This record gives sequence, C-alpha cells and structure tokens, in this order.
Amino acid sequence: MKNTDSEFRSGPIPGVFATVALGLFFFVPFAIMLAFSFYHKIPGGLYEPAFEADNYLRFISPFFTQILLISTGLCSLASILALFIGFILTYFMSRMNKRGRTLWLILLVSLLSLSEVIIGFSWSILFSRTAGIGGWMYMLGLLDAPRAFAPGFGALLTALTFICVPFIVLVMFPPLTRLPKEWVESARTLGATPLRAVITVVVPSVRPALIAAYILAFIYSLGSYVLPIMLGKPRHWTITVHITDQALYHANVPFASALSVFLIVTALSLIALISKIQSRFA
Amino acid sequence: MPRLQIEGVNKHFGSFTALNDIWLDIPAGKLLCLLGPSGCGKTTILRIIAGLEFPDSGKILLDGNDLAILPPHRRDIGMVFQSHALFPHLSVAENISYGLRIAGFSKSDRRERVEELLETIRLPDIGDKRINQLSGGELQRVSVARALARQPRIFLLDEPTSALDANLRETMQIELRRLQQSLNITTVVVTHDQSEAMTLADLIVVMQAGTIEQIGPPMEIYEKPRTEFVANFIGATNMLNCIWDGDCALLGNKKLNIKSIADSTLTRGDTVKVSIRPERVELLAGDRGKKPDSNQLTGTVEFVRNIGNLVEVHTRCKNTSIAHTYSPQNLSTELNLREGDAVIVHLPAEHCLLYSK
Repeated sequence: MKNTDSEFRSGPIPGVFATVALGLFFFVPFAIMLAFSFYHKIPGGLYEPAFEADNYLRFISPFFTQILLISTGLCSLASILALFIGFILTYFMSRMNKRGRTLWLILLVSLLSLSEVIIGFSWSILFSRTAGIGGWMYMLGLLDAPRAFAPGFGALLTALTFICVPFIVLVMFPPLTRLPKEWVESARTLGATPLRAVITVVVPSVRPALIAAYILAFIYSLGSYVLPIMLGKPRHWTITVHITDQALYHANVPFASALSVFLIVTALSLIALISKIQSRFA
Repeated sequence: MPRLQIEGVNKHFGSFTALNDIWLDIPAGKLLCLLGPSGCGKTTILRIIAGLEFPDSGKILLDGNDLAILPPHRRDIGMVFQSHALFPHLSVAENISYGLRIAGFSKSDRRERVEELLETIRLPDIGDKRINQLSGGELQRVSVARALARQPRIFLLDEPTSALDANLRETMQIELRRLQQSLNITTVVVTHDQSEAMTLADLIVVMQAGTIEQIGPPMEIYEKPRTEFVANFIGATNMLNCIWDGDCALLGNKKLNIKSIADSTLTRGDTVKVSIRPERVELLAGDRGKKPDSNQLTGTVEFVRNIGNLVEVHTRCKNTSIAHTYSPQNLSTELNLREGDAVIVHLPAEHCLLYSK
C-alpha cells in the first residue's frame, strides 16, 4: 500500500503547525507567567519588574505548606479511590461481550462531556440536607435529623473521585481487554481464587497502565477548580482555587504566577514520569 | 490415581450445540486423547473438566465424586493451555512455583520442587529466565512443569504441541508420553493432530459436531474406524463410491467382497462407500489382456512419489483413483513402477470396510 499512515503524516505542515501552536499558546504564556512569578508585589494591587525569589519562598511558610499538603493529599486519595473503582469497573467491562463494553464506554465518555459545574451541582444536591442522601438516611431512620454532607471533605472527595473514574477506565481499557483470558484461567487451575488471580496476575501485568492512570487522575484532580469551591470548605481548597484567590481577590499576580508555575512543573514532571514508565515497560 | 467419568454432559452456547450427550470413562492413570476438527467440542470438554465452563446438564465424576460443585481452584487439576498462558511478569521459577506459593509451600520446599521439575523437563538452568526469553519448546516444557508442580490428580493438555514446528512437535509428543507414563497420572489431551493422538493415547475419542464418533485404543480406531468420518479423519484412506448388491459392493461393474458388514439395514441398490487404507492395497504386475480375479481391478499408474520413508503410487482404475503406499525398504517385494504402467490393484476383502451413506 502506498498511502501509508506514516507517509500521510510525514509532510512538514503538521510539524510546523504543532510547533507554532505550542509556542504561541503554551510557551509564550508560560514564559510571561514565569517572569511574573519573580516580580515584586507593591501594596495596592500592583507589581513591578524584579527578579526575586520571595514568591517561591512563601511556599515554605506553614500556611502554604498546608495548602500543598491538602491539595496533594486530597487529589492522591481521590486518584487512588478512582483507580480502585475504575480498575474493577474496567476489569468487568473487559469480560463483557462487545455490546456491553460499547454501552459502558458510551456512558463513561458521556460523563466526560459533562461540565464540572453540572457535576458539582448534582453532587451538592445529592449531599444536601433536604433533597439528598442526608434526607434519605433520615427517612430510613439512619439519622436522627436530616443533615447535609456538603460542603465537606467527603463530598469533595466523592466528586473528585467521580470525575477521575472515566479517565482511569479510558487508560485501563486497552491493556485489560488485550490481556489473554487464559492467564486468569491458568491461575485458577493452579489454585488461585478469582480475587487472588486478579491480584497476582492481572494487576502486575497491567502495572504500567495503572501507574499512568493514577498520575493522569492526580493531575486532572489537581487542576479541578469548580468542585472544591462548590463542595469543599475553604480549608479543603486545592492549589487551583488558591491561585484564583491570590490573583483575583488578593490582587497578588506574582504569587499566583509562582503557584501556577509550581502546578505546571509538577504536572509536566508527572507526565514525563508516565512516559518514562511506559517506555521502560514497552 | 483417580478415575474420571463424564456422564451425559450437554453444553450449548446460545443456539449452538457444543456438546451433545457425552459419556466418557477414563481409567486411572490412562491418557485419553480427544481428537476432532475445530469446533467439534473437544476443548469444551476439557474446560468443563477444569471447571472453566459449566455443563448445561450431566456430571463430571472424579473417583465417583461430582466435581460440579467445585470451582476450578479446588479441583486439583493441572492444565496446559494451547497458548501456554505463562505469566510474563514472573520468571520461569516463579511461574512453576506459582501454584505452590498459593498452596502455602515454604520457600525452601518451593525451591526444591522447582529444581526437581526443571530437571524433569531437562531444563535445569533456566529458572531465572524471563518468559519472553524462552523458545517455543522451552515454553511448552515450562508450562507442563507448572501444571504438574502441585502433583494434580488430573492432567489436562489443550493442543499441547500445536505451536511447535514439526520436528520439535514429535520430540515433545514422545517426551509428554514418557512423562505421563512415569507419573502414571490420569490425563486428557485435546488435539486435532491424529499422529499426536496415535503417539500419546491409551484411548482416542474421535469427535464431530459435539458428539462422539468412536472411542477406542489407537490401533482399533485406525484399523476399524466405525464411521466414514473417522476413517477419513484418522490417517489416509481410499474411499470408493459403490452400490450395494445384496452380498457385495459394486464399483462400476466390478464386485468387491467385504468380509465383515456391520450394517444389516442395507438393501440392494443402496449407495455405499468402501474404505481401504493405502498400505492395505496390493499392486500386482499388470497384463492388459489378463482378467483380474475377485476384488482385483485393472488400472494404470498415474503418479508415483517417493518421500524417503514411503513410496506412494496412485493408480487410475476407470473413474476411480486408488492410492497405495509401501516402504521403499521393501522394494524387493514391490514392483518398480512408473507412470503409465499397467497394474492389477487388489483390494483384500478382509481390509475393506463398508459405510452406508
């Protein structure tokens, strides 16, 4: 065949376009932000060009250390829960017939199309005092009085987990469907229970994909802005919310820039780690 | 070693009948080969014994105990899969000791057993290798070692040598047979390769479309195939289209006597098939003017090929082509035939088998 995929892609235009787009929409804004992160803040909401590390040194203050710990802790926990739920869901999907798999994939992809605002409102209604879970639990006699679960850590963790699950499924689906079913079957004939077969054979076999899925979920949840505001208390706010808070309400653009640079560098480092893991196991 | 019985097993996949009323009795310590074309249900039987599929009805009895209630991990079976199904994230030694670890064997016991098994499969130095570093034959041996590690009561093999090249396949078949005999383990092998079945089996079960066509020792199946399908499937055969004439078969206008006729429902004029193995056909020096005797046909040599250990002669007798084979070592007793030579083809009555259509 003459018109192979590689030949189709080999022209110079796509490469030039990608470089220009990346430069224009990522590197230039990032460079501006990086420069701002070293600027000096002047009281009154202004700033002046400078080259000082004060904005980065603020990271080591107890307050921002706590923010970083809460952000990473919350997102780690949400990613682990999403990984657990997503892995189980994908494993069962991989054992379904083609029709079942397709239906589940459509459902999960349609969840991705929902705005974070809609998801946040849905969960805040579900966790509300009157219309949601609190009200149902009261009706079932599990609570003495109807109560709201949002805003709160549990509500935020649930919603973050929810938005991460489709990403986990999309990453885990190809390796799990490709996994030969004989591996689990042979483990069964060698004395393993179904659960043990999954833990000792399936999980190690898809370990690179699991790590990649976890990191992807972590990055995605770390960038979440709407859910922490809608479902969390101020002490549960993630770094993204604090960036907005610093830029808009405290008029501290240099510090917001420093936080943004930290967030981007963290995300890029994790993406580089995914690539390294995947190339190592390839 | 236990006796394995399969009693009245049926299995459907949707509207497809995979197994239809299967009855088998595998004596303790014997090797049974399930032989048949793709889709005949042989692997389904193996998977039902292993507990990887459930029968719609019927029983699987191991020493009289029904296995139906036991999940695969409690059936105490060792199974070798067609794809080997070795775990790539584990080394060879870890693969072999996988079942031992689950059974709670100590580390030293595991190591000892793995070394013993690696010696058994004659690959003592590959314990630390990864699975993707092994050749086809090594993969085969390691998967056998892994399946036998826990000394299972039943040994199951699904197309064990199908992924190997011809020479290695024969070596592995002999090794497998020796191993099975030395362990005296009740074994079921699935294969579509008749020479593998003949090499390995104490008993062969020939299957077609979910049913059993014939069960018997290899030579009985070969010498006395009960159906036309079995005759065609096991070894090469000459299958001649004839008409039943009341006491003999008519090939054209030539009478063929058949020594044993099992089918008593035949009536004169029925279409029948007469089967005779090529090595049972006899060729005599032809004389175009000579009238052949009973069960003899006049013909012309159409094609001769010598493949080293066997000479194959195809003779045209009117509209029928008849193959004859002989060992070139017996050349002194055979004619030195060439294409176009006239011959008399003798089909001995005691080797002719009759099948009604």
